[in-house]
Amino acid sequence: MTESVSEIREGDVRVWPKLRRHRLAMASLVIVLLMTLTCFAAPLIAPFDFDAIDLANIRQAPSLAHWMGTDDLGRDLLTRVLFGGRVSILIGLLAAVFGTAMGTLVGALGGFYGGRLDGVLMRITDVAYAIPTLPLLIILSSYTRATGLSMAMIIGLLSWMATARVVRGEVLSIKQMLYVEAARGLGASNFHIITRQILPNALGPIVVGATLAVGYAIILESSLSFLGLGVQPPTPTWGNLLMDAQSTMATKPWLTIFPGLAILLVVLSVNFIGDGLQDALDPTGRAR
Amino acid sequence: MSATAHNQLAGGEVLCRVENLTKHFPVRRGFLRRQVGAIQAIDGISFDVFAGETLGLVGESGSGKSTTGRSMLQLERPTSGRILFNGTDLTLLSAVGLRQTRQNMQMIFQDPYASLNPRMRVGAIIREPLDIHDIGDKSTRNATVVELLEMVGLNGGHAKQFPHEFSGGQRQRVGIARALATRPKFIVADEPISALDVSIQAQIVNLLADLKDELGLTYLFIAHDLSMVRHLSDRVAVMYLGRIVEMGACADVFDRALHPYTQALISAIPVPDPGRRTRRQETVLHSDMPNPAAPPPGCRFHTRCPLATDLCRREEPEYRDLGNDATSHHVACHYAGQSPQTTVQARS
Amino acid sequence: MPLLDVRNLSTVFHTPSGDVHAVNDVSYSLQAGESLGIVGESGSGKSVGALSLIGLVPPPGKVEHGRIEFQDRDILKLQKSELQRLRGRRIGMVFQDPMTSLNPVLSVGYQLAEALRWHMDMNETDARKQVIETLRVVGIAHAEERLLDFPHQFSGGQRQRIMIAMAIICRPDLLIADEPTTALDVTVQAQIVDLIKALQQEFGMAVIWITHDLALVAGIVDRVAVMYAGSLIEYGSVDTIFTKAAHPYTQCLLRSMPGRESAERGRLYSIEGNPPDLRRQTEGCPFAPRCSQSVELCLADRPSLGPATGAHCVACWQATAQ
Repeated sequence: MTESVSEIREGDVRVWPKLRRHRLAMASLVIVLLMTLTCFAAPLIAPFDFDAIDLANIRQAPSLAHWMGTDDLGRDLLTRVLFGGRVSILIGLLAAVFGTAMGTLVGALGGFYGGRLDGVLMRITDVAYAIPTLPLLIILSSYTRATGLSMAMIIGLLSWMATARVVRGEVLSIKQMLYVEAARGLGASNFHIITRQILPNALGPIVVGATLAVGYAIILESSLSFLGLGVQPPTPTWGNLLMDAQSTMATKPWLTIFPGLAILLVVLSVNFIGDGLQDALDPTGRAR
Repeated sequence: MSATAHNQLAGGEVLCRVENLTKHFPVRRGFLRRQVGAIQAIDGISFDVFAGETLGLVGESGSGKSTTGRSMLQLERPTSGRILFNGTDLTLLSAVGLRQTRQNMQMIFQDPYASLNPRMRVGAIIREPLDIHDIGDKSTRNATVVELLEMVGLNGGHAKQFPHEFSGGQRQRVGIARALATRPKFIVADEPISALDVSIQAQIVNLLADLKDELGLTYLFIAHDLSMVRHLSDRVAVMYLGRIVEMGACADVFDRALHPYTQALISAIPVPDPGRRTRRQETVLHSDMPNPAAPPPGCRFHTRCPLATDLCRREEPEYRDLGNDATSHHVACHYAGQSPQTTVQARS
Repeated sequence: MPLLDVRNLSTVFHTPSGDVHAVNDVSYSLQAGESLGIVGESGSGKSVGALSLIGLVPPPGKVEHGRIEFQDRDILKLQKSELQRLRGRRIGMVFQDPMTSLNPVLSVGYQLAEALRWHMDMNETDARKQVIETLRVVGIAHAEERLLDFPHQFSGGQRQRIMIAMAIICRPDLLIADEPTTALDVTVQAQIVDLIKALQQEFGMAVIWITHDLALVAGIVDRVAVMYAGSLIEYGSVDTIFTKAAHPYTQCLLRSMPGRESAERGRLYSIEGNPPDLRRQTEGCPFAPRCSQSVELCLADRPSLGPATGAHCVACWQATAQ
């Protein structure tokens, strides 16, 4: 017997209207979209070439000619930040997609089938979790050719575990739902149940995990580049821009601030979007 | 007596036969999850469901009635026993064979709020069985969905909406439409009205009765509301702790109950008559349902039975037919039909 | 002087999709030792009304309007701390689901003693005696040995008895039971009903029994209040309601109950349509769209609770016209 109180709070499953109400998430969405668009449009809109060395104008503070100043070799920082964004954001997105896909596969299979398969998958997950990420990343990246794609794959390979755990939990609880049993009673195959009944309802944590993974991947990539690994100069990434600026943090702060701000802005916005999505995807409307 | 009861007498066709059905749920403890015991949800029950009848199945929590319904549809794999549907033993079917048979037997679930996928539109929910079994093509499927919606008292336009936009009664209608999509012959209704408001329950019960006549369905109507079961069913089986304790035509079981548990159930039904405040003929049971993992020895009901004797504590009563030539009336009690109703009130 | 006097109570939920008028101008009163059954379906406002009485309406709900006089004090005007002293001490409440109402990680004895410590300032020994006595009174066998047991070690019926024990342990003057038997088996329900009746006799408590089951209240209460869509639509003694119900909704409820005798396999009487959307406050009677006796006046103007005959009140234009 439903109480009128819970009926009042029962939620709408349509995601977009609920997301629209979350102002922080919407603002962040706009910011991320803008940044992504401008970065990917870099070849068209950047004022200079990213490797255009101009020794006459080295280490310039931000000015009208160079909105973000120039670096040690006179290269325009704005251009480099834009081009760097292409790489960093792309790696972030790809890595998130890889990691989420893998994690969802592992979690869904383990959660749905249970038993020994689940045991094995979860032990693999535990072991993978226990491996220290950064050292392994460092080792792996020194063995492969550091293209954006290989970086994305490596980072994805090392970040799927959280998604796997979360998805497994969701699948375990959704599996008990009456509508899943109803589908089984209709004669649905396991594949049908997982893809049409369970996963759409587990979408919440999956999507939230994916957005957070983007931020995580960008930071990881930046850390790698900062350490001199990963994508190598002259191709700029936000991380190797920071590496270049290491020695001059105090004297020429703009070289550190702008790439740092870019990273901060994207990761923060992506996290806020994740927040908003979590509330929007929660059908009970109880979250807020 | 209704037409179907006549049917049964005249050796009516058995649509579904349950033979010695048993379902135990293992209780696992410890690090290695070893089995330390079992919850005996159903313990060796047998009965027939005749084509065209409504068989009511009543009992309280722990009686095993829901498990029985689900086992019949193979939503639970029985631990032992056979389930014959139209002569085919369901327990022996392969996954493919089972899927085929599922078109003929469907379920209506108790909770209209949980049995519909909240992220699917109502039309998709009703169309799902057609998709699964590859019945018809896209346009005919959509037409069927509209037809089904109208059959259950909604309209075609509702197909685009989500479950949360409907009330409990309407959602249950959607569940019924979904169950009818593959034109099944046999429907297990597992407490279809318990979660609904009183004024809506009557609507749904009427709908179920109409659909049965229109489509020639056979129902297994599982419920704990005895009045509704009586209204809708031809025959009724009463379950307690995994066993059937009494079974027969509705009129016989309700008016001339032979088993003390049945008598207690009937007398516990609230009577909408303030004049009957001092219940005269009443059997109020003491204590609570025993643990299904450790059912009492002898007659399972003896711990709560006002008539229990040493015999009851030692020996399981036989399930015998005390009916006459015309109808069967099975009871499992050493003292069936021997004592009148007594008034017993005891605290646990 | 009535023990409880509710006047024009209105509770509204301010949700993003609109204001839900869960309780709409409800008034009734209760004498000491009397029992009242509040009957209604989901959305009728019966539970929210009860929660409003003791200030437990969850946000975004708020009691917007009205007076609730309990023992000559307006509860709605009390400070939070005064209200807390009232709850448990003078007003006990039993909820529907004993599984979630009892704390699973605290022993039963501790939870019961908690109420005593908080309200009555008793010492250990006296509290223990009171707890054991109360458990005995509600029918828990071997109470003394079971003080250290946890809720999951009891059956559903026993847990509900423990809930009742918690509600009455300070010997309150008013017991509010919100669907206390809905989640229980019918045989256990009969036991709990008898228990509450006996307790009411023994301690002289007033009882408000909230349920959707009209048949259930027939045997337990003195007066019945029927609610629909947040409004109180009929109010009278239990005999009057069952024999001379004046409101069409009450009449429908009574008629849609399947009879106990061997009825013919006819159709059950059912009420057309669905319960209304509480977000839209209608101009007229909330039941009018579903009422077979409604006329234009019913849709235009909301009837108020007027006397049909003496202590029997009905909110219906048709009923009061006769």
